[in-house]
Amino acid sequence: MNRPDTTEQHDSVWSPLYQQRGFRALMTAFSFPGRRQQLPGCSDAAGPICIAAILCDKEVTLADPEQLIPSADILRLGIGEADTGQASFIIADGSQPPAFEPTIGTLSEPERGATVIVRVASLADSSDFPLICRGPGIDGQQTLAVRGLNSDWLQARTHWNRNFPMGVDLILVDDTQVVAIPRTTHISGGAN
Amino acid sequence: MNPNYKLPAAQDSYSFGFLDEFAKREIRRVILKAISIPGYQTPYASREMPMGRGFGTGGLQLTLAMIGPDDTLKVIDQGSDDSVNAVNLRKFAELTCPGVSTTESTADASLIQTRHRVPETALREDQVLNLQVPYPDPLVIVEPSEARRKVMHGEGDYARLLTKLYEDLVQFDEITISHRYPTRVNGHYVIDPSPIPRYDVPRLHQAKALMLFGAGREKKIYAVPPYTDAEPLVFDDIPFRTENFHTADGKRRPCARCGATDSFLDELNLETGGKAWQCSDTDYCNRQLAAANDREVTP
Repeated sequence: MNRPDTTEQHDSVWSPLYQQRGFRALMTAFSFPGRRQQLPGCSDAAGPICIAAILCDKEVTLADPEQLIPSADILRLGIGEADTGQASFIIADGSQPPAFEPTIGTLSEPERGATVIVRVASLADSSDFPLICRGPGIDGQQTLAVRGLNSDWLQARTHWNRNFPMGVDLILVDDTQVVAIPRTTHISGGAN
Repeated sequence: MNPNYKLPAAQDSYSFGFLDEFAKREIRRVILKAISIPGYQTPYASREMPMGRGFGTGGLQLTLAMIGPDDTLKVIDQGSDDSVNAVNLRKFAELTCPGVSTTESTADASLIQTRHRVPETALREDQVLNLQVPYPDPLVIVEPSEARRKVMHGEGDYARLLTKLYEDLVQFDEITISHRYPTRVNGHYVIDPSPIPRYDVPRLHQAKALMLFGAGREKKIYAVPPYTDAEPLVFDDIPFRTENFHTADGKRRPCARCGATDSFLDELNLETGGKAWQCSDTDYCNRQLAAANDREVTP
């Protein structure tokens, strides 16, 4: 039970209250693409594991080709593992170019396009290349600063999302912050 | 519902928000996909709720999947906080979400669940509007097969819907859709914006708040994200018209209660046989009335 009046631990990433708060941060992130959101604090996980705990369970498949999630947490998630070509969620390291071709859904079922959780070094630091985002959820334009994202990701993303409504949605995450880039967001800049 | 009613002790052990964590997580995943594909009717499981389908179970499942103890919830039905549907859904949220506060004020709410209206007060970025939807698919009047409708939606093929609007103009010189007006989101998908009046349709366009649509019986969730184009389907030479509430001599009717001339009005049949017009949004009406009283007190 996740009654707020009980003494259950709420700062665990596996607690329902944490997952509700984390989901609201994610929902706000998807509503305002490119805008940084703070994940709620938790004592037992960081970054990609938090996102997986909020969104994944035994109903979905997850591919973790670089093994960014410890096997104990994979067990705890109860997810089915799958190839990157079929999985509905993929966890990847943003510093490496994407070495996979995720599913982009079909014309009549575009929601089957994968969600890729990309671990980056930092979303707070603007020392790397600033990106300009435009599209639904953005009032005019939104600047996104990200460190540790290989620029091949942007080209791959453009390729995956070339035929709307099919496409792939990205969740960039560092240890505590998250930025969503749904398939509708146009990104420019970042040439380096 | 009896205001003193409490769940029996044996049933007092439901999860926060009634839905189990797996159901919530599924709805959460679907919400994120619905936001990512603006206007696309994303299928979801739609769990049984302890109330009839068609009573707002879609909107309620959205609310219960995202609500937390920090939230302030407002529930309205046709603009009113006090009608049967709103009172019962609010009461259900109070019973199953301990710690959540409820309000009748649009400005104070972090989550607003609504049936058939968008509040008059403009929404902010930190608010979320969950609309209860009876019929999610605008194409159902021209194509009975869902498989074919899904392809038509994917291709952005709304020719047959436009033909229906054109036939209306030929026959009646007016598009005869008073509510559920087909609206194109982000230049691709056309949505049924739930039975909101035409008056509210322009409020979906480039709104600051996220708007989510939940159809419990039809098992669909779709979204109009903030700062997103939402344009009613019209022809280039026939502009979209909303209800104007003009009298025969062309003057805008005021609300009979608060005097507002900038709100959506309900037409009331009086016992004396006459008619009166009054704000449909009760919170807005009360605010206008309070502001008018303040002006009288401080000369």
